[in-house]
Amino acid sequence: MRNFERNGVATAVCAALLSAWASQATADEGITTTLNGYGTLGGTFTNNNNYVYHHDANEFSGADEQFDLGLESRIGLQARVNFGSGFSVTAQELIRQRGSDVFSLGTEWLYLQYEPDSNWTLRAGRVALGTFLYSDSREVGYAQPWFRPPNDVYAAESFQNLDGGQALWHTDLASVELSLQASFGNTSEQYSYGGVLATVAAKNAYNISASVEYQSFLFRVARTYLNLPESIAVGPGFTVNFAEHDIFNSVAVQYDNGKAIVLGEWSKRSEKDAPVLGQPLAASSQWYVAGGWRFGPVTPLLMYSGIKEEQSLSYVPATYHTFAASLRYDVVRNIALKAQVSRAQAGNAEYWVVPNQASNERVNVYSVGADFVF
Amino acid sequence: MNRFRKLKLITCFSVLIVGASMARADVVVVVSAKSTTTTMTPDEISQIYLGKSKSMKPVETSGSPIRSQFYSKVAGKDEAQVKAIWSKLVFTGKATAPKELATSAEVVKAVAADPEAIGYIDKSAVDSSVKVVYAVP
Repeated sequence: MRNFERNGVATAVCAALLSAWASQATADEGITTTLNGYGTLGGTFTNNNNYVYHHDANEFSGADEQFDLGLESRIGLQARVNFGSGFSVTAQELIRQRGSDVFSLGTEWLYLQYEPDSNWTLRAGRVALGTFLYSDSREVGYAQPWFRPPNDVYAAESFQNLDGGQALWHTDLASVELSLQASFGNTSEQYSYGGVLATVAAKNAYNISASVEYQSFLFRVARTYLNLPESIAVGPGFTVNFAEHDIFNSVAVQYDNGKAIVLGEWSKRSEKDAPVLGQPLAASSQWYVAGGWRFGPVTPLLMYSGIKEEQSLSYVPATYHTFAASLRYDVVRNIALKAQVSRAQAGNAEYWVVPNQASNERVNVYSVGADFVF
Repeated sequence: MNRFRKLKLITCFSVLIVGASMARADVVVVVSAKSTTTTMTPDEISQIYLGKSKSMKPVETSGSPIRSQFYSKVAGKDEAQVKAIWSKLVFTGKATAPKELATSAEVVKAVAADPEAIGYIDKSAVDSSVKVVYAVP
C-alpha cells in the first residue's frame, strides 16, 4: 500500500515535469524553469550461474551468465522552478528497475529550497541522503569516472533519500572551498536478503558531512545515523523488539588534476548490541582505492575494494575483496561509453542475491553501457 | 586503399589539425564596466565556471572553439570533464550551470547589464560596456 502511494505521487510529479517540458523553460514574470535529464543504457552478465549479482539489497533480482539489460538501465528527469528571491522547487524523477524485474517510476527528490544568501541553502521535502562521496549522484553515471562505484562500499547502505529537511553551508576563502551539510528525516525501502522480502523503515535518521576542496584535492568526512525498529523472532512465541541504531562513519579523499584521478573511501558501520541476543544486527568496515588517467577522451581506471564483516547477527567474521577495471570513452559531447570488469568474492550478502559465505569463490562481473545527460 | 593514398590522407588530416589549432581565437574574460572588479586570477575564474564559487554569475557562448580553449587554458579541463562536473552539481541541486548564449555579442550585452555577471568572449567583441579582467593565454 505504501509503495502504491509513493508510485502515485511519483506519477503525479512526473506528469507535472512533462507538462513543464512541453512549455520548455518559459520565463513568466521572473519565474524560470530549468529541465535536465540523465540516463544509462547498459547491461551486465557474470561468468557463474551459481550466483546472482545486483547493486544492493534494494533490487530483488540481478544478473547471472545471461546478459541483463534491466539492472543498469535507467533514465532520470529533473525540473527546477526558480521563483526568484531565493526560492525554488526541485523535483527529480527516476525510472529504473526496483524490487523485482519491473521498471517503475520513483521520486528521488522533491523539495522546496530557500537560499537567503550565497552561503546558505535550506531545503524541505524529499532530499538526498549523502552517506558516501557519490551517494547523492549515484544514479548519474555520466558524472562518475567508473561505470559503477565499488559495491563493497556503496552496497553497505542503500537508502538514497530522506523525507525531512536539509541545510547546506558553503564558503570559499581564497582557493579553499568549505561545505557543511546536515540532513534529517524518515525513509523506507523494500529489501531482499537471501530472497526474503522486508520493508525497512528508518525514523529520525540524519546525515552530517563536511568537505574541504583545495585545488585538485577533496577531503570529506560524513556520518549517517539510521534508527530502524527491528523485530526478531528468537523462539516460538518469543520476539525481541528493539531499535537498531545503524551508524556509518565515512572518510573520502579525492585527487583530480584533470589528467590523473585518484580516490578512496573508508567507512565503518557500527551498531549497539541487540538486547537479549547480545550482538549487533550488522557490523562491518568497507573501503576502496581507485586510480585512473585521462588519455584525451579515454579514461582507464583501476579499483580495489574490500568489506570486512564483523561478528554480528547478520555476519560471521569474514573479509571479501574485489578487483575491478573500468574504461570511460567520451565519444561525443554528453555521451560516455563505458565498460567495467569486476572480479569479486561472492560472499557478501549486500550485493549477491544468493551469496555463498563458505566457498569464497571469485566471480567475474562484466558490464557495458552508455551514460548520457541532456 | 593503397599505402600512398593512406599517406596522403594522413597528411591531409595533419594539415587540418595543425590548421585548426593555428586558428585559435584571442579569448578574454570580461565583467561589466560598472563592476568594481579590475583583475582576476585563472583560479578565481575557474572556481566560478566549475561551480565552486557562487560569487559571480557566469555566462558563456554555446559555440565550441572559444569554449574548449577557455576551459583547457583556465581550468585545465576538457569539455567532457566540465560537463561531468556540472552534471554532479546540477543533479544534486547544488548549482545551476552557466547561462548559455549564442554569440559573443550577446555575452557582452548580458555582462554589461549585470555588475555580478562574468563572461568570456572573443577579444574582437570587447566594447566600452565591459572591461577585460583576464586575457586567456
